[in-house]
Amino acid sequence: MSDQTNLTNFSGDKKAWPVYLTIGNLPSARRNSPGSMAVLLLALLPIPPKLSKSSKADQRQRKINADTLQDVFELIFAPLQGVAHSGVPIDCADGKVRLCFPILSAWIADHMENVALHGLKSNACPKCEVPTHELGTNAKNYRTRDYARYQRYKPEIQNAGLESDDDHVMCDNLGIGQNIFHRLDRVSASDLYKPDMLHTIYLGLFKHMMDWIEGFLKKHGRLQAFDDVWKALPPYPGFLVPKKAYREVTQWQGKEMRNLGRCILGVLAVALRQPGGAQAIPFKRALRCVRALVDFNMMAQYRSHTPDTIAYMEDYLDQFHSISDIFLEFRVTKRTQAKVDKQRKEIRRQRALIREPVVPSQRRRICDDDRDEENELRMDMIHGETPFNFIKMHLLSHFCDHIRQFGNSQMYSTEIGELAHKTQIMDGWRQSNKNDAARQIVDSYRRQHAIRMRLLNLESLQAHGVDLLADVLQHLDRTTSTGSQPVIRRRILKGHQEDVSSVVDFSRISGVSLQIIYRELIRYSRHNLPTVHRLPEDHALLRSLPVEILTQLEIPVHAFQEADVYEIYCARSTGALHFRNQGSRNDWVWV
Amino acid sequence: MPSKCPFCRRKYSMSGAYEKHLRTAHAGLDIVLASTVQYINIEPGVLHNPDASGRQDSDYESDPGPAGLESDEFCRDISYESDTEVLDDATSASAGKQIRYEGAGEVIGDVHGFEDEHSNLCEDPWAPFNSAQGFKLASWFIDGKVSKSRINEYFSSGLGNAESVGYSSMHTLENHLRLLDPYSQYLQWFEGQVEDGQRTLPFFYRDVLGCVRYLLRQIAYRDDLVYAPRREYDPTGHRIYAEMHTADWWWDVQV
Repeated sequence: MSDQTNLTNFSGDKKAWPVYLTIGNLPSARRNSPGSMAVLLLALLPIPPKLSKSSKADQRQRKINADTLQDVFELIFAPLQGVAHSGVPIDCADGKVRLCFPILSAWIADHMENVALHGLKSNACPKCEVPTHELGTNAKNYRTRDYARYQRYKPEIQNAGLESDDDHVMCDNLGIGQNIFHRLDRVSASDLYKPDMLHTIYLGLFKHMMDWIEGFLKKHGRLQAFDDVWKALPPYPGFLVPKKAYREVTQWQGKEMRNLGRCILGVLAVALRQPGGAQAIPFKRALRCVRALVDFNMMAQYRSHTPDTIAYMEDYLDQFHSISDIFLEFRVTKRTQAKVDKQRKEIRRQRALIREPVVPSQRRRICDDDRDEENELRMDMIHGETPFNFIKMHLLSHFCDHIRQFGNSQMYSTEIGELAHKTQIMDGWRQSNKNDAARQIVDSYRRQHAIRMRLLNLESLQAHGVDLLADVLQHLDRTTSTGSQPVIRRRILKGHQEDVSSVVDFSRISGVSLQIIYRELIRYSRHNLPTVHRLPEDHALLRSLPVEILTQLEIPVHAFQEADVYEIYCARSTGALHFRNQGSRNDWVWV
Repeated sequence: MPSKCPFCRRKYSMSGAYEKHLRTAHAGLDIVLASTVQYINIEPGVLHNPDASGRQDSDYESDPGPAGLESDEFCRDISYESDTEVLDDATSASAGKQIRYEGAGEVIGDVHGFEDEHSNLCEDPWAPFNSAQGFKLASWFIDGKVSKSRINEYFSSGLGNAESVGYSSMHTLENHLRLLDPYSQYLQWFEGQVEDGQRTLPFFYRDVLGCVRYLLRQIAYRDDLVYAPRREYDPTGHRIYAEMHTADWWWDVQV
């Protein structure tokens, strides 16, 4: 079973805090597909009022909020408590009753919500006891968090203020409130955390990486080259061509970031081509660093892993950590920057004190020396501060183990919650009269769900070859929902144009002379077609044959690592005509 | 604890996979193999008699420490070292670091009235609507997000034929929809109140267990449901980690 929560902003200040539930018995592709209706809304939680950080009264209020939340979750999960030990007979879809032990095994949420529910501070890892200053290193093997122990120790520490060395690390990152889940039977709270591709990689590290790259390019004067290449990317099936330069985009979505992950390495490699003498090494290192991260991301997207691929992922991560210092100077915090400035001022002041008058011819050399010295000191300073310590950097290290334990990481991404938000919450909200909205949201989705579920069940019967009434079949054919059977796809040619009925029309529209067309057609038919299907070689006859312009070839391509899923790529050739108002499109097809 | 192959650069975290690698890739190195497989004799009792360790009614937190954990892992690995195909859930015996769920996923009987329900659905697919048209119109109303007042207007202005669809207002349509889902009682909403010291806030929740029952009960998911963990291997004998039921956690809790 996996649950997920997310905060959604409604218009203005309205918020909802939905909790969803689904079951792990369904394979992830089915579970997370929009039409399967397998994600149920479990609860709409109350939103605690927003608090400022300062006052004492607010601190107390915060404590009350945390306790309330705890109570609410305990109420919701109460039915699971006894059942986790003794099991419960549940009717299953194949007509058998099975003994089931429903247990909570995953909680899919973004990091802020995870720490809130686990009762941690925001820079703490919900999975292990990594200290804050180690977040940026590739440190593994920290002890898994033991939330039950925290609960036992916490009151003592708060009362006495005494702590042993061991407990110090342990309780360092604990926030207000307690772990919501620690009292659930047979649930290991530290296992509930799931790696979240959307927030840690796409919106997290990729975003940071782009900032670093931008700084890097700026330093080396390659920013313009980067933008030029970025805009000149050719179209490719399944790939969105960016329309703006990277810097012109103000907001990035997860989907766009994923797209970026596919092309960033190539673009960067082109932008950094022909390095000058001193640039060669940093350029190479930067490329290797980006490559390691992109490779890691690509591997993390795999739907099925072998020990080899997991080992690769670990390798990439090690690589990334070992060379990420190339970007260190672009991740300077304001505090470090201030320190650096202060240091520089200090040096200059000292220099001014000791400096003797110099000959103009030597001044330039001395200035250069000074600048080098300054830069060196600055780099030392920056490296000493190690500003890579942020939580997303650390969370990557849990991906590999998690795959071994719980399967591919893609199915735990928070992206799957976004869709549920739209259909189950937002639509209901829009239809409501905004007065006591929660009740109406809950109600309006129930109706839709009932109808869809009936259709899905009928569809499943149809797939099993059960005789159904004719009008049922007819209706099922027309409703577009998830087909449970794999459909064998063929290549399909599509598209036609008005006013083209013969070769003459074709020649007029495509602007190719009739003679050439005749020659090519006859050549083609002689070489490629069986005798019965040969075209007539008389020009007058050819002239009157019906012709259709085909502008689109649908090519089914096997989806990666899937046996029966196809993605349809469309190769288009629109000639000189416009395609979707955006210039002509003529794709290359390699045969 | 990942083990690194001393002869090539591969790393393995499961000792079973590591051993397989040693056997296949470095078949000539018998001496090395013998020295790594010593642990077979550590605790034969656990290996052959999984019930000995039994079910522990404790929390995870108070489970055996790292020492116990290691030997457990070894034993588990040995038990499936020769398996190359998908395993049945009954064939693997192991003692785990986590608590077992005795009899989880076991079939303990037939669902009462399952066949009847099936044939009812086949014979009267649109129940409680009296015709396909009634169902289609309802789904068009609901999917198209037509408001209640507009639906009432539709019937009152005589656009629709209430006779043939079987309902004549939002109210009666609502009653039909209530009966449409035979398991809707599993999905009932409950309302709760919380007090945070200043205000009283309402919140809504469903029965967790009900939701699980509901999902497991749907015919639509019949073909996809997985009731027991499996181990899958690719043609070269490497373990595949794909869906949740092919990964380790499920194995740890249900065998």
